[in-house]
Amino acid sequence: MEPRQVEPRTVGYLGRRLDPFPYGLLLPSMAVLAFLLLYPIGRAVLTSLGRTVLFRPQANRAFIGLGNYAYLLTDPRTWHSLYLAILYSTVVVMGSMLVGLGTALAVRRPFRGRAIYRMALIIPWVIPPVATSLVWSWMLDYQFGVVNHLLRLAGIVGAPIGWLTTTGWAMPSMFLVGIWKMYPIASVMLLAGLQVIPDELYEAAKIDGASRLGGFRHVTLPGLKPVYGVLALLLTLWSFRSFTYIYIMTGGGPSQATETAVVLVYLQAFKFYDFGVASALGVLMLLTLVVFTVVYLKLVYGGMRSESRA
Amino acid sequence: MTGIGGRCESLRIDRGVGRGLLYGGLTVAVVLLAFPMYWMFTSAFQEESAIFAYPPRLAPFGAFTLQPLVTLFQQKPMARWLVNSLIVSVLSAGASVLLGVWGGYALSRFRFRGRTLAGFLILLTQMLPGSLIIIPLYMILTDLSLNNSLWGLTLTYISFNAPFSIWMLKGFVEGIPRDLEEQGLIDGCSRMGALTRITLPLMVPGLVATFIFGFIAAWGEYVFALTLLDSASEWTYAVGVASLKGEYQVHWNEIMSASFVSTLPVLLLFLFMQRYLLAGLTAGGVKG
Repeated sequence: MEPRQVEPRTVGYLGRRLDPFPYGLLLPSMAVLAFLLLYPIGRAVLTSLGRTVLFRPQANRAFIGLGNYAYLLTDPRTWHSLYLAILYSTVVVMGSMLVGLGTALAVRRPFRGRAIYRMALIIPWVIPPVATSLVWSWMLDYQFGVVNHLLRLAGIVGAPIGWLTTTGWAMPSMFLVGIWKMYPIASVMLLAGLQVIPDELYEAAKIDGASRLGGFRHVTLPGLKPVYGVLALLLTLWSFRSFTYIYIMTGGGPSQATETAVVLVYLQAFKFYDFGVASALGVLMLLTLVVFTVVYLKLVYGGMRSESRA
Repeated sequence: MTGIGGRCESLRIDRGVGRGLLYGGLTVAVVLLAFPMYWMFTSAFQEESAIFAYPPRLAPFGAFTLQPLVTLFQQKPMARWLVNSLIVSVLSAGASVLLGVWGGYALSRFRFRGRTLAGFLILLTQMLPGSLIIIPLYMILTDLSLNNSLWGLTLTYISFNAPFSIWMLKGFVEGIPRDLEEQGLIDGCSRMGALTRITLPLMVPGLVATFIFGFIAAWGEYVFALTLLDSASEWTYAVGVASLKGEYQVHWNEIMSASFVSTLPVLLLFLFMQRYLLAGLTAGGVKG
């Protein structure tokens, strides 16, 4: 191949030879994505338009139109699960960004032992999801759990609390575990953002008579905007489809108290074996997230600049 | 504890107080946030009687025993699960890094028709509810006779990890000056040669970080392994460990020791590779 300039230039437009090189480089990954992500989505959409119930093949039909969707939209259980999913992601995203910001601010400047504190603060992110779910199940155990024990020792509660077994406490427990698992990634990204804010800006704010809180509001927060813009979106997408923690700790119970949309999709498919309804709910979730992402990018980045960060 | 550090550094007069607050606040935060890890380790190597003792002991290191782990290895195919997880994680992470190098290079160095579409596809993968594609994926893998197989699971993980790898390595490529490649091209390298022989060696930290991210993701993945693998001998470690809780009598010391074993490799990877990982995670994000 002849030497050519490797420059970001427009290729493939009018009058230019289509350069096959970048396409060749992207081909393998796009092929994998097309075959294992896009094609399955297409098949899921098709499945959602038919009746597919395992073990009752005689009643199955390839096409029933929007029947599954009509069924879902009139079922309060669907709305409840979507409500819980939105509630869960809202609380977890805000909680983990707050804890992440607090920890990032605390370890921003060098001090003796900073490396150890930083490392310890990131550990929750490393623990595998199943292990996380199991250790929290054990800690939140009604009878032998250490959380109830410590709370009673400190005199905060009189009787043990059924963290995972009562409808009132199950969802807050999920919030707690979700935030605990997710704040390290927020902390790491916010810390990186803090470190590129030049010190001169704080000095200038001080000279202008800004208080420390003012410096935080007028320098730190705007300086972090590029980071938390991306961060909030990613955390929302991740937490909205968070499954493992809830499924292992409560299985969606007690009496549907933690049955978020993803959990319901799973139960519809692999407990009730109704693949049609499960696929329809999955499609609804995907649509929700696509709409959310488009609106979010429009609001935060003002239009079509999303390309530069994809 | 929010903002303690941020406030501290501007406190010049009462620096000692600020310092005390910083350490105090941080220590409380670390103790609270790291406690589950400690509790996992503490519960993992105890006799069952110590686990269920009342009141619970907060530091029961006296009766350290490996018995829970030994029992598990005798009763369950733990070693097999570990090997399965290792195979799937290494293969899928390695393949994702390869796809990520090519894709990230293409997206960062070239402007071409369809670039935006490729970028959008990558973002789309972050929105997919996993359970939406489990069912069709199961059908497709069955058509290919790859159901209940570690190969099918490996392929699945590649499709999840590759987009993230592309995104992360794109950030790394952007940090490498283009001049070096141009020099190589003038010296007669092919373009693929310039990528492989000039850019790639400079990206080693990024490659390491991307590999570890892929490894950690595959090592911990649960839903797909649970649904795509039927027989217990093909299970990954995550599925095997989670199945322990489903049994009629819950042995928390055994479950915690199994959880600890699943945490140990990723924890060690993290501790030794921390520098690379943090650099990798922020390469894409901060440029935003």
